[in-house]
Amino acid sequence: MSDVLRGGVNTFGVPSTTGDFRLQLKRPKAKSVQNVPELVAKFGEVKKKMLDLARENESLKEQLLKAHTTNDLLAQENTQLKEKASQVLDVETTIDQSIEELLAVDTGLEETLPTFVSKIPRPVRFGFTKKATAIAPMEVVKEVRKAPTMRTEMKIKNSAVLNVPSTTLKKESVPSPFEVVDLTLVKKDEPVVLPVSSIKEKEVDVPAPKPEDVVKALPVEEPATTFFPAPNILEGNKLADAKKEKALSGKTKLEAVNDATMEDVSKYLLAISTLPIENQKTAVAKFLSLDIMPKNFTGVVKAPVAKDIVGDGIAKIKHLTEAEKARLYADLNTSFEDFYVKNLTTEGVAYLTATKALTEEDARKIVAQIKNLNAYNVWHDHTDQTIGNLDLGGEKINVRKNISTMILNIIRTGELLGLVLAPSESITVSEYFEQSQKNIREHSTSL
Amino acid sequence: MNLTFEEYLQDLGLENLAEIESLDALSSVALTVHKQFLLDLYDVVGEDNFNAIKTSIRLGPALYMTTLKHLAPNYLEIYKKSKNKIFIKLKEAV
Repeated sequence: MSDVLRGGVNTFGVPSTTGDFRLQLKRPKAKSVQNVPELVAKFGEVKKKMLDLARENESLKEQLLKAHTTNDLLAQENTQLKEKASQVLDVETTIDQSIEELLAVDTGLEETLPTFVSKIPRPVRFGFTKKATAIAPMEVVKEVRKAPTMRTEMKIKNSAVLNVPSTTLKKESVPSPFEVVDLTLVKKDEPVVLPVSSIKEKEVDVPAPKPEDVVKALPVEEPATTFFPAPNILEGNKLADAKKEKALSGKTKLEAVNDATMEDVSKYLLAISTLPIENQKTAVAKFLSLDIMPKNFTGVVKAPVAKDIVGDGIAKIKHLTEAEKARLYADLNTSFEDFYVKNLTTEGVAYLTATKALTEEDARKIVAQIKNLNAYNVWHDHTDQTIGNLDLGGEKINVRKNISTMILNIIRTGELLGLVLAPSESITVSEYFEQSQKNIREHSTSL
Repeated sequence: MNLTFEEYLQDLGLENLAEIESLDALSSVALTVHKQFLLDLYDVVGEDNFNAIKTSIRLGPALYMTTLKHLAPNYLEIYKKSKNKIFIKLKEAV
């Protein structure tokens, strides 16, 4: 502390020679005893003010913190919105390209049939001799082109009759108000006298049209198409403009089901192309029956635990080679029973024994525990505990099945990734399940 | 009713095809049917929901099926009709 503040004397009571003389002069005289209460009161006030200021400071700090947090959140939101905007723009570009392509190429059957027909060996297709078949394919293609295409069908909007050429529709569009009840052959020169009753107005039989029928008969206007939610981001104006343009150009469902979408669908078929030919046949037949996933698997995707695992699975899939990915998908696509029996009892045991930590006997114990889930209700408590808050329609058995399927997926995923799952001899199924998840999570974070 | 690969071939009169050709043929039929299904689905679910379904296709069969189940509970019925449309055409052509 400086000498000035000490009242111009140093610690030994000797007047300072180093302090500012003027300040020393201005320094108030030593306080008398009478001023003490006043000083105490002033000190109290100052202290109070300081406390107020401290409180205010704290509150400002809190506000600042909040502002920082809000700022962070806003920044995060902004980043997300920007990402979304870029995604939307990407989709827009893809759609634009697809529209161009779609305008140039006819779709649906007209597009696929010639290829399809050309795959059929000629003698089989037509039963012709080799000579005769030389011109057959083109004829067929012509025939196919004559047939009403999907585009033609699109033109016949609001018609209940599909796959019928438009000319047919015109013919039957307006029914006659009269019907001939009786026709008799008469000689040419004889005057034709038709009985009054032979022609009657059909109006008698036809009830007056109901208002709703009239409404149905009226041309139905297509609702204005909306493609994306209202943009509130930097690219908003561009998107809004694009949206208007699209709406004006009259986007149809043909544009919605574009090449990109079909490419996504064809990936399902592509995924099975690495399988043995017999499995490919089964998978194609299943795809044709829209049996893409086992029915009992679909509901469980909503469950957090399943999302976790599926999420992990997807993360893993990203790091897999195409062949491994195809195998994984193929495994997911088989029915539970197929998967259960095949993978659990044979590959499951093989996998567990291959992890070194388990003898075949131990591996069989684990497999047996999983296999007998339904019989011994082992998973009942576990599933309640894990996903007990979910509305799964009381399908506890399915849940258990799904969870055991998921365990198998974990095993398979682990196998594909070379993860070592080492359950001990005394491990329970629940512990094994949790340990497996943990191992996979740790592995995914380390990737 | 779900048919086997061979039953589908018989149904379409393609049982004499070579193995690889029959796989190619049924795969292309499957895609055509699926395209028709998506076109028909569009009419049923509307554009917004259809966009959601389209996104789910990209996310894998499990999410695709789940989305279908929620947005178009009668999707199997729609699929059946779409498949019939294409099969009728194919049979006529073959």
